[in-house]
Amino acid sequence: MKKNKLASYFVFISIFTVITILIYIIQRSYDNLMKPVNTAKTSILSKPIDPNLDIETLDLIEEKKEYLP
Amino acid sequence: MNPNTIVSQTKPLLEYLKKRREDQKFLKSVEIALTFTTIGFFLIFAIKPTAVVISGLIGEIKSKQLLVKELRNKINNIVIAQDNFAKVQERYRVVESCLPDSPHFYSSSNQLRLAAQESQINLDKLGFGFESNTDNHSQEKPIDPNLGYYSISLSQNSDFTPILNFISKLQNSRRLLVLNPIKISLASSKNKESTSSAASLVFSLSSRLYFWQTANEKK
Repeated sequence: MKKNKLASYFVFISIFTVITILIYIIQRSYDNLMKPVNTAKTSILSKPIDPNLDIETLDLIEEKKEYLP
Repeated sequence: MNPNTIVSQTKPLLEYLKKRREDQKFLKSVEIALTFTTIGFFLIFAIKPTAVVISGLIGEIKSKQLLVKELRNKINNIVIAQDNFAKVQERYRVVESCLPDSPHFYSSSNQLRLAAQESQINLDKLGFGFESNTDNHSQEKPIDPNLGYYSISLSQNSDFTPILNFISKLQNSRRLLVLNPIKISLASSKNKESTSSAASLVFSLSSRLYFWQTANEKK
């Protein structure tokens, strides 16, 4: 009886270990998958450029007086 | 046949069978445990490196695709920006007069002189001062860390209306400047005697004039 109890413990521990290893592998893989994507998203290359020129400010500057030398 | 004899004969057989069944159960359990241990071993030494490498490569591909998309958008935006810039290129001089590429000390002093002249103030002394954008002593936050600046300070005797005119002219001038402290105080009798005019006030101001730094142009 004692032998059987010990065997069931072994089974439980081995199943638990396999599940833990599986979760660890999935977590590592997901981390590896998302790391380059997140790096690309935060990199300076992906900073957007606004092509619109602020014409209103240009008009505003033009309205001001220029003191020529 | 005596029933007690039958029981005494079958009992060891039943015990043997029971023990055999328990042994078989134990062996099966050990077999299952060993199977899972082997699976775990393969997961660590075979599946894990493969999964990590594959996910890393897929991540790289995805990031490259994302970058290609972003860069394509960026290139399109640059083309649009070039077109927009070509449309207003003749007005670039306006930007240059507001925020020049170099300090343009002469034009800035001229600006102050002309503004003062128009406000009937005679400027005879101007002080130029240089500060660094990264200067820790400077308590004010810079408008833009890429901009360079220098300060011009002056102190002059005048009346109240010309002083107001002068300040409003400076505020409406095209060159980008920030008027910092403006101090107006009553002129002392000693000062009045020394100056030819009957100016009743002494005003002093310091202004910061901005320009594009050369390091910024290189970018």
